[in-house]
Amino acid sequence: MPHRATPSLRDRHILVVEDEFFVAEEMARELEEAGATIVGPVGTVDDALDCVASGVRIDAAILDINLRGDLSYPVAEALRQKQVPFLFATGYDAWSLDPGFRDVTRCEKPIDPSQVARALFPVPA
Amino acid sequence: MEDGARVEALLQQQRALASFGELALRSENLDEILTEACRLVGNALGTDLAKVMELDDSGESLVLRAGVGWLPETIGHARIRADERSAEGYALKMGEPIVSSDLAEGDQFSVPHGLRDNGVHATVTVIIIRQSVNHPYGILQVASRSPRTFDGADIQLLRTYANLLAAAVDRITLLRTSYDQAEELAANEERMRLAIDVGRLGTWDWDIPTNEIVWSDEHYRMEGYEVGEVTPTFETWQARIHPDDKAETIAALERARDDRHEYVHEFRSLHPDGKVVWLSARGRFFYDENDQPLRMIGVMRDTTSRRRAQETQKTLIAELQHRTRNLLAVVRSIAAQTMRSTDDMAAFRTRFNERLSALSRVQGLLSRSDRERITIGQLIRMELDALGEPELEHRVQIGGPDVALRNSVVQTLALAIHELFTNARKYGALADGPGSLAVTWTLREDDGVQHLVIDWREVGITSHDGGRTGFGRELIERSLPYQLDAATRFDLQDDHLHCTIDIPLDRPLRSTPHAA
Repeated sequence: MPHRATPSLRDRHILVVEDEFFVAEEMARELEEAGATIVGPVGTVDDALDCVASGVRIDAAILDINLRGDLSYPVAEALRQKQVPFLFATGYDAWSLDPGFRDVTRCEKPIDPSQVARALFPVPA
Repeated sequence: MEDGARVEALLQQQRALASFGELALRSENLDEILTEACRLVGNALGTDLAKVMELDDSGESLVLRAGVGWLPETIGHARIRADERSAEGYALKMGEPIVSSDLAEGDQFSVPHGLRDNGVHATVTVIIIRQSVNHPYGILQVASRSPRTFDGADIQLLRTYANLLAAAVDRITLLRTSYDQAEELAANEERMRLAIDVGRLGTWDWDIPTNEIVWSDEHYRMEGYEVGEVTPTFETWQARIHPDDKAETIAALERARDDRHEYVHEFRSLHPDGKVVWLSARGRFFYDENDQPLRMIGVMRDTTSRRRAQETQKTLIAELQHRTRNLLAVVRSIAAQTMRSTDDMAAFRTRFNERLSALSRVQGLLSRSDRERITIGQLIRMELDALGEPELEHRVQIGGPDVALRNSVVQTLALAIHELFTNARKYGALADGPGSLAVTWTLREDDGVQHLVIDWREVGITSHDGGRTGFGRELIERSLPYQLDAATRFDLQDDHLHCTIDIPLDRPLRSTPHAA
């Protein structure tokens, strides 16, 4: 059987945007255990935008959609412009998303790092 | 009789007949016509007794319908059987004029009750046949109080009147039917109009070849027109469809027309004042014999409020999903943290259950928060009570102004206060010993933003901090700043603890515009 590389988060710099402290902590811990370097976590749209604009290395991002009542779409837009892959970690279903972002991969919380890795860094077939 | 007098009498009869003919053609009052006929034939035949009897619906009896020389109260009521035993019934049966010359001397007919009372000696009876339905209406009869005979001319005259009466009955029956129909039509239209009005329906009736459309008043209003402001056409209709819905709405109409199914479509109408109205339409096409669409009829309902309710519900469900899943994530991380900081299963169970209970209390509080805002005093009181040890009360001092909290603050703050109380009871000033606790809070304003400052002081701590988990401290030192932008201090010494939590109460103004 041919060996196919499993996508890995090793040495990937991942921005975590999540307003719930414990959830952010948990997510960061899971990703770190999978080898990633965490950027953040940050819990507001403003902090996330600052982070993206600061020029710090971001290879990928995980976004909560509802941040203290604000929607994180502006962050998603900024990441898109920089061609940084991202996914939504959210309790929202697809139908409640902005139509412009319905094609973005969503994952349930708590996140599964290997699922995150596959979605953010697909291995070419 | 003199020839001159005879001629004069004949002329008189002719004039009477002519004027009666006009009455029979013009009057819409059948009673008047019938009574006048009785009067005229009586006059012409030289008697003061004449009547019209009408065959009733059963066909079995005749009812006195009009007459002269009869008591008014018998009109419409007196009836006789329509059979051969009476002259009237016999005439009806035979369809021939019947002359009965001398009733007093015995006759082939029984004498109907009433005739004898009137002293009747002779009668002549003719049938009235409605030509339109070829069915007898009844009879016309002249009676005499003295014995006499009736000649051919008398009978002829009577038949002429009977024929005129038949024509009048036909005409008036027809008239009544059409009146009734017109009335029914008007009543139907009124019912329809009321139903449309009450149901707030907009209707349309589209004559496709001419492109003329009739709209109900509500239809104009639904599309943002004053009633009668425009002449309805396909163009005036589609001009008010929301630009985003126009192509699909027209396509749906064309599909219904071409596939011959009902047009069922919901779309938005954009009014000139910017108002957007949701309309649910239902209509049907009608075609001519060459399958060309000829006409379309339909109704519309305003579904804006239903749509709005659906949107609200959608938002609420999304919000609920968000909260539920976030809550589960919080529970999961509390479990993970508790597991890391406890040594054995029993300790884990105790701490984890306590934390879940705190979470559950605050959820209960939050579920009622749409009716009353939660205050900081309430939150602190609730967590003290949760210790379940009223005898501690005298060692605890609580005080501060009434301050309502944002819902987003409540959960995290409640967990922090829960940890503070639990640790105070187990390892701090509320453990067995002389210690006491003071929880006070104040408001301060900084740069236009209200801050709540909670001051937590424990003094007289004697036990040593072997079992503190660090979870409460992490909550205060890291979670509150992260989630609530709070500034916190946690100063634990050998014999006292001083903790302050400073939370901005208003949301700081955002520099980025909110996403929709």
